[in-house]
Amino acid sequence: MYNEIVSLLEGQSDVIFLEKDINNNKVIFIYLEGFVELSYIEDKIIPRVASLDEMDRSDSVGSTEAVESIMRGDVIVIRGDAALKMSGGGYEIRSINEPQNEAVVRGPRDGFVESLTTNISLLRRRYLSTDLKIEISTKGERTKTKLAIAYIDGIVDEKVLEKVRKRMDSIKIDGVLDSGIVEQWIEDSWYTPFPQVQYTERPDKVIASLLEGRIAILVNGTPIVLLVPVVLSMLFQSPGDYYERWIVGSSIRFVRYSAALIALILPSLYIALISFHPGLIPTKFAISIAGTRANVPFPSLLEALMMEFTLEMLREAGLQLPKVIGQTVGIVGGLVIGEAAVQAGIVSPMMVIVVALTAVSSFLIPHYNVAISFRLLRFPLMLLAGTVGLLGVILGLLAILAHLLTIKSFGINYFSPIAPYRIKDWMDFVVRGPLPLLQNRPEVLHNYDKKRMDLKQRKKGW
Amino acid sequence: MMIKDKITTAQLAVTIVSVMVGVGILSYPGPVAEEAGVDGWIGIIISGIISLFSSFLIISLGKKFQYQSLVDYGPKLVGRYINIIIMVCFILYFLTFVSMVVRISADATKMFLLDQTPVEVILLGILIMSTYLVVHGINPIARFNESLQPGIIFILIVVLLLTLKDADFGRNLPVLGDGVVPVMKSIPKILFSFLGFELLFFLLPFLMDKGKVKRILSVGIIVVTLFYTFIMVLSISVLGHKEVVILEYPTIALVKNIEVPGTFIERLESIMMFVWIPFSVTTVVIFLYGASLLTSGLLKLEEHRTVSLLLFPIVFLMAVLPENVLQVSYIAEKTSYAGIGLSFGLPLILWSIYGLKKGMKLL
Amino acid sequence: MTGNKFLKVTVVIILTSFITGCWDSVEIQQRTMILSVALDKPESNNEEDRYDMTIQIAEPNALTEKPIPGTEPVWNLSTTCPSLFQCVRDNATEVARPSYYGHLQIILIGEELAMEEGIVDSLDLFFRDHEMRRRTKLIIVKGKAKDALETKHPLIPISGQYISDLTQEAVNKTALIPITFTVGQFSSEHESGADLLLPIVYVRGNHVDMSGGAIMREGKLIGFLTGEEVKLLRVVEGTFKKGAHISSSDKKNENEPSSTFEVKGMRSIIHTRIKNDKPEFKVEVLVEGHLAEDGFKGLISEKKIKKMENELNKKIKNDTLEFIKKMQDEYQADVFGFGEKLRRHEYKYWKNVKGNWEEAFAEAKIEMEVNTSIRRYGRIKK
Repeated sequence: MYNEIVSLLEGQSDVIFLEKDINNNKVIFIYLEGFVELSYIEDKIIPRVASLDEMDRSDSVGSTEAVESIMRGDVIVIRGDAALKMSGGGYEIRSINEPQNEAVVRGPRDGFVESLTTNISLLRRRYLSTDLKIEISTKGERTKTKLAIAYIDGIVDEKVLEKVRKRMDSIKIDGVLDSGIVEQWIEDSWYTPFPQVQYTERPDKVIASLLEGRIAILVNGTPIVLLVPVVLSMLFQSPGDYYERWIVGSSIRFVRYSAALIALILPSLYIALISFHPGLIPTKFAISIAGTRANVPFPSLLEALMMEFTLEMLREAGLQLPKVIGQTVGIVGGLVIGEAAVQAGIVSPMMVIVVALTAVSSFLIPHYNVAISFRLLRFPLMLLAGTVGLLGVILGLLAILAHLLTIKSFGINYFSPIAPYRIKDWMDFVVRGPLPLLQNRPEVLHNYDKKRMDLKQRKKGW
Repeated sequence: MMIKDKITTAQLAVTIVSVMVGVGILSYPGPVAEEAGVDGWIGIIISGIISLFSSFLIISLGKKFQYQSLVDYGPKLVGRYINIIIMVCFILYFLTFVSMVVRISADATKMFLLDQTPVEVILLGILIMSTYLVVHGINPIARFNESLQPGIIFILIVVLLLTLKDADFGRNLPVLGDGVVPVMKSIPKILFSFLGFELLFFLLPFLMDKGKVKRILSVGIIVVTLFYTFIMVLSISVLGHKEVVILEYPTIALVKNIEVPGTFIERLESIMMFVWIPFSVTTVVIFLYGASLLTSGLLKLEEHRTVSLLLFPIVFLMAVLPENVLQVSYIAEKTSYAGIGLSFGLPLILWSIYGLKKGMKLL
Repeated sequence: MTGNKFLKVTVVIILTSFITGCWDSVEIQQRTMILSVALDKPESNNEEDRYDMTIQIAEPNALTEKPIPGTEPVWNLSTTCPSLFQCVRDNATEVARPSYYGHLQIILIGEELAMEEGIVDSLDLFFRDHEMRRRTKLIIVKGKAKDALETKHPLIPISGQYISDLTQEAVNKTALIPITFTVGQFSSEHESGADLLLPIVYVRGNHVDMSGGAIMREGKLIGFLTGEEVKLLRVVEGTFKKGAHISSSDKKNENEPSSTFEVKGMRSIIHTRIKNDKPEFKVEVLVEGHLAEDGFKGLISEKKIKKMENELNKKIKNDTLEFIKKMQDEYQADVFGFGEKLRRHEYKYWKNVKGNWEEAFAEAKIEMEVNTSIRRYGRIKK
């Protein structure tokens, strides 16, 4: 047995074979360096092995399984012919922190970490009933990564669940390093700029989604948890909307939707109005714009493309650099380049305002991946506006709408509360309706159990 | 024909509304006022009732044949060969109608916004956009109408309400000053604007829930009628009926009257663009879909995608062909007469054949 | 999948159009914004030339904080030509940038041209062209139209813009010019065949004065009204809404200080009746407003208010009837819209008199009833 394991572990320099003499028996501990602390073996495992009089042969594991357990961080204890698996006490993981990309003003502060078991426990801590089901499987031909599907039995739509299972089973890939790989494998269409899977680092958000009847996919080794299915309107929601009172939540949502629209169309509208239809601007305003643009040598399309591209570069630079420097790059780049460009007469002051507004607007969208798709789509819109003016903007917007209508996420229409028109879901769309109006789960998800709350008791009493 | 996609009754109603409300909305007050003077609104209401009646005929006929498409039940009624002739008529009508709609909206766009741009480019833009949707089938088309139509009709009404400041509703008086004859004469011209419900011949099989179709559809047609009446009355109130007659696009002139000082966009014609391009796109999409559906049905093809891609260049060529605006309106008028025959005459004829055959116990 | 293939073809088509495209793209600063146009009868003896067109070009750059040295805010450019479109094209030979009429604020028409040629022919271009707005103001200039553009105003450097702003102000605040003052309104009224008024502007040295109306019949100028007369017209129309004043002082007794009354709202109803095959009209006017100025003539009392109201009623009624009489006798011009009222309410009769409405109007009997209410009298009770 020992020899078999040794031959399987050939070439693994970080495997430690620790020989000890316990009760006059030669015992070998095999484990991975860095996964198991020596002190843990001495303090916890040796006393346990010593207390066992005789190795129970039936507990013995096979050599392949033994190797796999070693790779996962367990300790294999070999005494004579028997190989015994013992827990390695766990390796070091990052402590639970507030997720930086999804901060909320009001709401819980914990976020997922890289360990699947910890993440599942974070979910279980919030959801104590047994109908929270977790199905664990292993994917990745070589990396053997653990994946988990979480859903709530009795709420979730079986058809969607079946689809998720089927797509998860189909994953055949050498390595699953992040949930992003899973996302791209299971998504419905790969050529759209819009994400068909939502992701989050917040356990409260995952539980909220599960309660809506959605399904979470957790991947070992990453704090990013996937949520499916998703419709576009869900990507404009943030957990904070629900924790605040409804008037606050609704107004924030309204600002967010307007911002998305601004981020999408403002530069193209600017191009269309400046280069094609100056008659549509009020006369005095048109005169003042024409005055400030007198020295600008470029057509507005080129001007806009240049500035928007610079903006994207600054943003990316800010992300790549360490935080402190990143901020500096943002401020210095934005202010200095903008100011200098205006001074040099390369761009007009109006353009700088437009670019700054689109930038700020795109940061308002709570999900990074949707924000990116909106930011991306404004470039084709700008090109269209630069070719045929307002007509291009309109046709572009119609094409985006048509495209959104053809997307599905796990069989759910992506553009749902608008089309197909579901009046009940409008209560949680641009406005976040007051609690009594949110009694039902989103209709679009075809939940098994539709009712969310029972307000009868609330109305009595006070 | 295989029916995989299903649409709801509400979607069907919105779809029919979208086809009816097309580019005609820009110009119809002109011809109507020319015939009926200030009494155009009466003609519109009568035409609305006629359209409602015709669409009920089509639905009831479909009901007798388990909500099949005319392609399928036609042979039982009129025989295989005559049915093929009817289908070919429909296909030709749909294609000409689509190309004229595209051409008219492209001409309007060129006139108001893009003076130098070749009309072919504008045509191509609208057609590409429409064909993209058509190849995806009835479901996205229905959802497209559903998500777009209520919004743009709402925007248009809000914009038009801004003209109330200049409106003098007394201009619509007197009622029936010249008697009923001018009103009757105006009806054929108004019926053009109501064309589109003949698609019910072919869209009924897609319905998910067939029970309430008449009720919901009548809501749709009533909305269209009221909408048309509103624009008619408003344009006469603001512009005066003599002015409406000489304007090519009275509805745009109506909007041109509005200036909202102190906003970023002073003139609301731009918002009209956001309204009329979607109006024409929705019309084009459904008629093009209808044409490809019929062609593929006639050729016994499984799906319509390839056909609609093949129809794309045909429509484009047909739209480019007319030399000037007058020719376009000539062709459009002739097409509309064909449309009136197919959507108001054909249901009556089919019903009488049905009655005859039923009486002679042939069915 | 056909959908994908279609997508690819589309992308290729769109990309090629980007490369070849941008037919209509002209940057805003490269367009010549023409803010006002003045039309006159040419002075030259050339038979072919029908118009003398002056365009006022604004140079936006000269209006900014840091103008390019040497640029001037406005440039007035005159050309004579047989047709307006030709004028527009001729101008292009003198101006370095493409001209743009989308911001045309105002069209000024010289008295002589309006009287002899009529303005409809010349306006054809402005009706037909898509760039033009319906809200462009249309104003008759007493004298030469181009002189109005040459004036200089300390408040706004562009004189066309200044006149345009002035019109807006005059229509709403003083009621000294008629309510039809835009190309769109002119077109609507003209098409319906009615006589109508257009605002009139007087050039006085280096500034302009806007008050009064020009009577237009079938597009030709047939006479002038003073500002006070236009005010009375607007009383009949009921469009005299707010801000303007009516003085109740009697002209005969000049020693007594006059009381002025500020109108806050007005409504008029015109009743029509056919009697003995002749139209009869009764104009009912309801006026509402404040006492603005009284010359400290004594304490305000219920009785005094009543008395003032009666005086006002009488004054408005008499002045208006006098004015209507003048219109009936002197011009036979129905600028009040009585004919339109007949069309609405007595259509059968209207169809008969439509052809010679001018004579019928001259003989029509018109009555007036005015009802004034003084609601407030301000901070003092005296």
